[in-house]
Amino acid sequence: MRPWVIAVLSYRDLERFWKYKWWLAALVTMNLADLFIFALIFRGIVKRELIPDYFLFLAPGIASIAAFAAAFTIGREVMMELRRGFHHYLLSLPISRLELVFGRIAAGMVRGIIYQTPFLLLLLVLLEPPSPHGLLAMTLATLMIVASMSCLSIAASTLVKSLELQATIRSLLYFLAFFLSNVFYPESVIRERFPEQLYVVIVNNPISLATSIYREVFIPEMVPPTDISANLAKLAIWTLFLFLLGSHLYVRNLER
Amino acid sequence: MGVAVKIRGLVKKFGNFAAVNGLNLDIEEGEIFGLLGPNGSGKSTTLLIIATVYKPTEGDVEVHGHSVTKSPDEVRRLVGIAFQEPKALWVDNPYELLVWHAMVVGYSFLDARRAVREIMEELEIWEHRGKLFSELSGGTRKKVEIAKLFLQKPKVAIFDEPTAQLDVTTRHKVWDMIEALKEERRTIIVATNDMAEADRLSDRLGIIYKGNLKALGTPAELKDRIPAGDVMEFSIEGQAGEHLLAALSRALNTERVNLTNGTLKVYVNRAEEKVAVAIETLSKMGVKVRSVSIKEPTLDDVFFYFTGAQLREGR
Amino acid sequence: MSLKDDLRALALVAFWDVRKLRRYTFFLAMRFSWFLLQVLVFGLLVANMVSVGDLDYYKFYVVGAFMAVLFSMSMVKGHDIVEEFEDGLVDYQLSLPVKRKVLAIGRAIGGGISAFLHSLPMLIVVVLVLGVSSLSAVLALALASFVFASSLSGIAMGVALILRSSDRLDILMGVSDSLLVRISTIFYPIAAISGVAVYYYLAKVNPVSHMVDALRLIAIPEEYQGSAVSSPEVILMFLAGFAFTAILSSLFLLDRKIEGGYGR
Repeated sequence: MRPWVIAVLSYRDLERFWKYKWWLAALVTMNLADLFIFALIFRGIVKRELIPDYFLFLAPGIASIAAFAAAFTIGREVMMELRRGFHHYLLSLPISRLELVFGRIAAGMVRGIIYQTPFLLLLLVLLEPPSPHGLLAMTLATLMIVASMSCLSIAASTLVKSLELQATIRSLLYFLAFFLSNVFYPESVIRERFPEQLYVVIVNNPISLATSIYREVFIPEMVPPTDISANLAKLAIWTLFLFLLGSHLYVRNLER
Repeated sequence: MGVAVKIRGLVKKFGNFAAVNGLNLDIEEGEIFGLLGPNGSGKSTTLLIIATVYKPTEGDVEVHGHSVTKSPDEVRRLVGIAFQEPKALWVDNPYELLVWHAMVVGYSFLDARRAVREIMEELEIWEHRGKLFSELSGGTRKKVEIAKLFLQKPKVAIFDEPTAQLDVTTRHKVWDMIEALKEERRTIIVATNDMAEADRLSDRLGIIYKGNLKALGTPAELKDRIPAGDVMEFSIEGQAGEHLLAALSRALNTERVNLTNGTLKVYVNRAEEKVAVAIETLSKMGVKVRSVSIKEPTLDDVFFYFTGAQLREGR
Repeated sequence: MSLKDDLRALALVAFWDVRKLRRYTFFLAMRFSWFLLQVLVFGLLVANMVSVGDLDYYKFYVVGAFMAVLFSMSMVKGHDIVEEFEDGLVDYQLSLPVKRKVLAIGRAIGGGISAFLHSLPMLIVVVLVLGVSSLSAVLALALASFVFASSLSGIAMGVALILRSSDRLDILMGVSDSLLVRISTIFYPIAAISGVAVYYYLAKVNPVSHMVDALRLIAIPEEYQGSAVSSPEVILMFLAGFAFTAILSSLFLLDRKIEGGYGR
């Protein structure tokens, strides 16, 4: 496998990412609105005994959502290429299928990392800087959340033949991951309202795992203690599973 | 016959770029008017202004006396356009699209269905009626687009490259249909880059370049306007030197006379009137003529003369 | 052209949007699932976390989530227009023998019907969840939703026709979604917003706040009477004034300014 081929493929996707500058601006506005409108207003009405400061509670979750949303856009590229027959060109290039898969996943990762960076910087400004171990955990969590979400969106974009159904599945996965996570609510409320099985699913989804790690790193005093290593391990399992699924489905759909 | 479309001082700017730059043109009622010009010359912009899709930046267009700026609603009742690129969403199907179009241009629901079926059968696209637009070939999409105008039969029908992407048989059928539309006393404007199409259909032609009209006339008139555009070719026997070429040049009043491997080429205007003089001159000089042929310029030559020449100047 | 011709053209133009309805089955399924997630997961959990006086936040949220759907479904009509620009369909429609005013009103009504029908399954969920039992209240909810959808669709389409670019529209829609939906009483009671002064005044003049509170006053009148952004009379007058201004300015813009050419 040639790393420069993967870099060239990713670069192409990254260049396209900037072309959606207005869409990006809209996404940034929405993410910031979640933080500076939703969180600020809710800080005044959320019960203090549950969350002492909802604004600080939500900020790490928004960083997770930002990485997730940007990495997830790679699936839309894949879908549009399939719709326009552009994948035939990609398949005709002198690159191996594995390089192609890695190139596309890496592209989603790069998008996620670039988009998330300002939000992480905002956390560093708003909150206490983390310890070196915390920084390492945060970096690993970021790498794994963008990799897993890039793979998931590629899988969703190649799962079925109908392009409309693909778009629907991608949107549905997006909202499932968005709402069935711990980004907006403390785990105690989730446990109280939902059956145990659903609670386990919610707190172990990749977005929740990354958010838990970020919260543990940035606002440990505001959340019940969690095992960062265990969460990183779970996130690694998700990443590996979604990588195998995404790469298999992508290559299968390209070649049929 | 009066003027169907009167264009005066028409300017259309997009930002600082003038797509149409002071165009003046009259299109007569009941004629097929061909509009020629290279890509980006302002043809489509002009047509879209006539169809009231674009608004002029300066100047005006009148269609049967109605101004596109002052009474666009009246103009739209008289004009219809088949666009260069077929207009449909990828999820549309041809039948529904055409029935809707037929109704919006005045057919009743039942008449629309009948007329759409007839036109789709005539253009051999009935079998594709229920498919998504994205599933259709380029040629079928084009047929759906021009079918709209054959349904609508407006007083002024604008076809923007009507037979691009169509096969030879269908092209001839569409040309016949356009001519039949003219027989119904419609004025037809055809923008095209296909010289065979322009030659076959047009009563008159306009050549537009950089937003301005560069030439206007019947195809025959435009061909005659190319200096020394006709070529007389003589296959000859006998001595032929510089003196022969000079004598021919004097007799026919042309500077372009070539001799290559026994073939003499003389470039003139109206060759049919000058061939007798040429043979007489050759005979006087003791040259025997074995065969003669005359070639008129094609519309390709006309197009290059009025636009290509200026492109070279531009460089 | 006679009035009869204009009305016929109006119906056909409105039908243009309505006929596309069945083609968006997957999109509707996705949006409906999203709404269910909002109501059955997000709403339930958040209602457990907050305390806003005597107000039942869950009921408040369910109507707000519906209004958010109605808003986004109407805004989608703007994207439809841009898509039509890209495919040249706006050029096609502008060339048809239909008056510009008829085209504008027809598309707004068609967009409104389409957005309302798209949102109808969600409205049924709202009625069931809130237990609205009076037929007149259900009909009033439906009528108000249709009127709001038509106004918002008309505005979205008008803006899209003027902007003529998906890039420009994306940013405007993103910002309007962020500001109009979030700085309104869609998700936050006006009492909660009062903690942040600038948001409070913006929410008070935001037409979306008045629309959603009008729906709440129909759906949960007794519980909501004291918590709305204004009194019912003021809400009604505000919305009438807003609709009148929006219709007049849209018609003026469409009649005078609109022309074809995507991105030009």
